[in-house]
Amino acid sequence: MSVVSDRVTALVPSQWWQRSHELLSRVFEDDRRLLALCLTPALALYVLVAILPMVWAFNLSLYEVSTLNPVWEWTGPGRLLDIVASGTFQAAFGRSLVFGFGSVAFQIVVGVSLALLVNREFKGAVLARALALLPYMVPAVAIGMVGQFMLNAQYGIINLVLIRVGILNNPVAFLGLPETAMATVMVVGSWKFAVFVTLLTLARLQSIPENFYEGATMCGANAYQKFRDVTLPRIKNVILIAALLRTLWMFNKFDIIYIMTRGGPGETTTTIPLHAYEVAFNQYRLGEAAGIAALMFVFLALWSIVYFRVARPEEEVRVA
Amino acid sequence: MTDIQVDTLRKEFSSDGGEIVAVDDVSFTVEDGEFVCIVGPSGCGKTTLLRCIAGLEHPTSGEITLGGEAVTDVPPQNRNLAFVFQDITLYPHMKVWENIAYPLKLDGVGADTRYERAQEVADTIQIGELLDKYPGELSGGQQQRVAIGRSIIRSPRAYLLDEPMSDLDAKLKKEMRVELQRIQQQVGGTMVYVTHDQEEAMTLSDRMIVMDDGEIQQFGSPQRVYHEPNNVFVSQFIGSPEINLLPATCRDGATVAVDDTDWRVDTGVDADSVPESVTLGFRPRHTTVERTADPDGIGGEVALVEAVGDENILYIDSEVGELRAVADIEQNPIEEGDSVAIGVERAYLFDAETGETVATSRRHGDRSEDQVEA
Repeated sequence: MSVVSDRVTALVPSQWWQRSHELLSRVFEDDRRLLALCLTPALALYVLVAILPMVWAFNLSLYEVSTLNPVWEWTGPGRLLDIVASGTFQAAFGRSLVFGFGSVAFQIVVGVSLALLVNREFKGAVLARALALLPYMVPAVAIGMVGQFMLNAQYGIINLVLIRVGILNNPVAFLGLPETAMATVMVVGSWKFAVFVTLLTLARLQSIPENFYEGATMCGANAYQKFRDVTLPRIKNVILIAALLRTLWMFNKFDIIYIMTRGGPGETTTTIPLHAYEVAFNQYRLGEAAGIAALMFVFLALWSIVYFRVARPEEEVRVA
Repeated sequence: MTDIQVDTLRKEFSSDGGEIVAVDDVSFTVEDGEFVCIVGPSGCGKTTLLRCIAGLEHPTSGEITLGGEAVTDVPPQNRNLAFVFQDITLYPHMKVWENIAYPLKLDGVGADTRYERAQEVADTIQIGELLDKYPGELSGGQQQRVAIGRSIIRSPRAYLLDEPMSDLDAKLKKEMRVELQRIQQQVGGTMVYVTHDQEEAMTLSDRMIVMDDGEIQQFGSPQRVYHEPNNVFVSQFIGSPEINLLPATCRDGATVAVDDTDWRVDTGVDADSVPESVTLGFRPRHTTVERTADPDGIGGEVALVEAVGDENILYIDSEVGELRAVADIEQNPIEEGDSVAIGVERAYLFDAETGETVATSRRHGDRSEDQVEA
């Protein structure tokens, strides 16, 4: 070994080693240089994949763009107002609100409940925790396809079970009926992401020392009071953060809805992202689609700002 | 208030290596209004015992009775006992007054009344000006006061304290000790206090329980435990500096021969029932130390002198290892390197096999007031 390394070092003049060491230590000792060094790659990537497309889309939304005509026709910002005023946009926006907030409410309730459940100490708790997190690893496409199979009115297992148990008399095409399609898509699209909430909440739950519960017990607290006074204050912020992230992501959700219903039946599940897709790739009105996307961005940005102001999820719980 | 009776209490934990007996068929009674410390080395089962009384652990077998009511199967929140933890379990998101009055909140008492009651309690424990702060803004001692305040607000049947001061610094500990005794006199409750600090137990208790290996080694007043230990363990655990213990042989009555030496010690004990093979014990404070060039008998060279206030604690290199003795700094100044002879004023003889006390010399005729228990 020593022979090899001796030979290698002998090939490199010793002053080179020294210079590179000096250079490195100078970089690491200077906080500002180190910061620049660490931040630049991430920042460059961010500008490339996030900022530039966003600016591009905003710019695009000010023109009439056709896939067949290479000439962009200036329409100006008035176009955005036209979009907002249009009935189809408003309807899609309403459905987005229903889908977004409904899904998130579902995810929070299911996710937090699941976290509380697997946080308990029992035999096989570690396995249960691992299993609970499994759905997060299944791709949305697979979930959508499997969901379609399971919900099918002719051969789906869900109809079969519901009829056998006696809840239903006749099979129901959950995804085919305007009354049930939205709720069904919300549930199927959410169970995977409920696990995301579980993941965050569980990490927080595990950090609550047991003696806080014992202390509350000795003060005379029952199970609900312990949840209210010990658990909830400590997981409140993580739930708020999870809710914000999930809302942003669910508003932009495209894949699961597209796979399961393509926005149908009729337009009952056409949310803003599906509406934008429709406008862009079926009607080839790229400028308008970009405008819809831009409006969506503005709405979500405003909503995040309001949310941070009101809910203050960044405020950590005071720890004694 | 109430007395606490513990009857053949046993607590086993299962672990990978099989069953661990944390508390081994323990029985005792804490009288109404008494301050009892449970003291012992870590892992002796003292905290488990306290948690069983509180109901945080369910005993494997045995009975717990509070003021005549069997509570073994009563859940902890219904026992009306106060518990102060080693790690101070205040609610970080509640202000001090909310923390103190938390038990009242659970009883559905309105906020105004709670604030008033918290104010009263806070004045008792002298933190009246801190009511509107958050626990995170307080020092460790103040936080522990708040925890104590929370425990006294509902007039519980008894107070259970699990090493409440082990996280505090030495000076604060002394202050809190005095404070705790004052509070106890004021509220007049039965208190059971777990600690590993024998000095704390000695100063606080009316009576103390010395535990080791899941069993009670001795239950009695601090004076009695100190002066008349039941066995080697108690004599060694209680008292500072630590007792000197030497293997010895007892052939001719009161005089014992220290093994591997030609030292003879006249213990002055009534030697009828003393076995031949014994452990000789004498406390560093029960000695006379004399500077002498050539010690005849117990003695050696002083290796280290620790000056503590008015006295020197001497660590002496002898034929049989380190011996400890205490000498007055002014009356009997001794320095490192001196050769000293040690005279034993009061000796204990323990059975070398079982460790039980077999005889105690009584040179000063000071008998303790209470009879042997446990």
